[in-house]
Amino acid sequence: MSELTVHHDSHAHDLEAISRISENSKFAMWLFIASETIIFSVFIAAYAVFRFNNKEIVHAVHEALGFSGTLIVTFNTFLLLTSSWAMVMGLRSIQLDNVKGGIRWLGITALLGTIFIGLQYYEYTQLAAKSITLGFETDAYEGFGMHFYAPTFFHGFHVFVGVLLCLEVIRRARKGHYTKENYVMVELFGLYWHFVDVVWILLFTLIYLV
Amino acid sequence: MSEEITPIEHNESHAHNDHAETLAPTTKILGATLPMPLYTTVFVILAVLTVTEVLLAEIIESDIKIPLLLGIAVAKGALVVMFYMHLKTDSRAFALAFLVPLILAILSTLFLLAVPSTGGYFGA
Repeated sequence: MSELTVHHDSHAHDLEAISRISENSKFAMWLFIASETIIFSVFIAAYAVFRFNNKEIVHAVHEALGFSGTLIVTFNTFLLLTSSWAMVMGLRSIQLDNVKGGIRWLGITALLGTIFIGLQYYEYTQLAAKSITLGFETDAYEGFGMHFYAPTFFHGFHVFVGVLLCLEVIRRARKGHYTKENYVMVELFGLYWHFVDVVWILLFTLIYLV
Repeated sequence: MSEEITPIEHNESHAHNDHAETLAPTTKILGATLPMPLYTTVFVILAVLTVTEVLLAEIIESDIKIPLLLGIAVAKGALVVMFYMHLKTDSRAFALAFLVPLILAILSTLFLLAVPSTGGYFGA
């Protein structure tokens, strides 16, 4: 009986420690997300002021891109939304003690993130062909390029980092680092990935639809 | 002995309650029970809102679409933050850490859009 008690006490202590580490790590991640919010806000504010003062230029860009341009970006938006869903389903699988299922969902997340980056590159080549460039002198749309590329590239870089982090989480999961009681790292990665998704939700509406 | 086991039972029960809503195979929404997990329900809502946004952007020509589309985008972002990032059920300290800088950023952006030096609303 005493051995059983020691075992239970030790298990309870482990769970408490995991819970404490989880809460502290999540708080740290939220502080990081708060700092990222400020950085992205600067880009968004700069674009919003540009949009407010240059309605004709933005309309001309939207005309030049056409509905097919919007469709590509809408498809990309769906990819990111689906990747976010795959991410939480992966976390859910691990919480339900199905680590293999979790790995499969996380694999989908990484794959969709990679396709997103590929399509963004394709979109950039299309925009460059329409003379939407970074330089003020070369940009056919008087500064639109800089206000467009800065937030979207910075976001794309975050997706790239997210894919690398996702692959690392998958590697650790395959090595048996996560269980239904210990999945802190998966949750932390999820917070990062969903934040990147939220930023895209706002950028998509502000830049492509408004 | 039962007293010694209680802390474990409490922890497991606490963890189970925290995730009961997200681990359930169905979603209860507005009195109805949908045959899919909460995460999938949120995904379907996000997809429908995205299609609505794109259609509205194509259909509406006037500037009324700006607050409308931004409102839908904010609603979509809120859904992700509340359900996928678990801010609805997690500690309020997390919400505070996120919302305070977010509100400051929104106010700063609105200020920039309003002041004359940036060609804003009151300078027009």
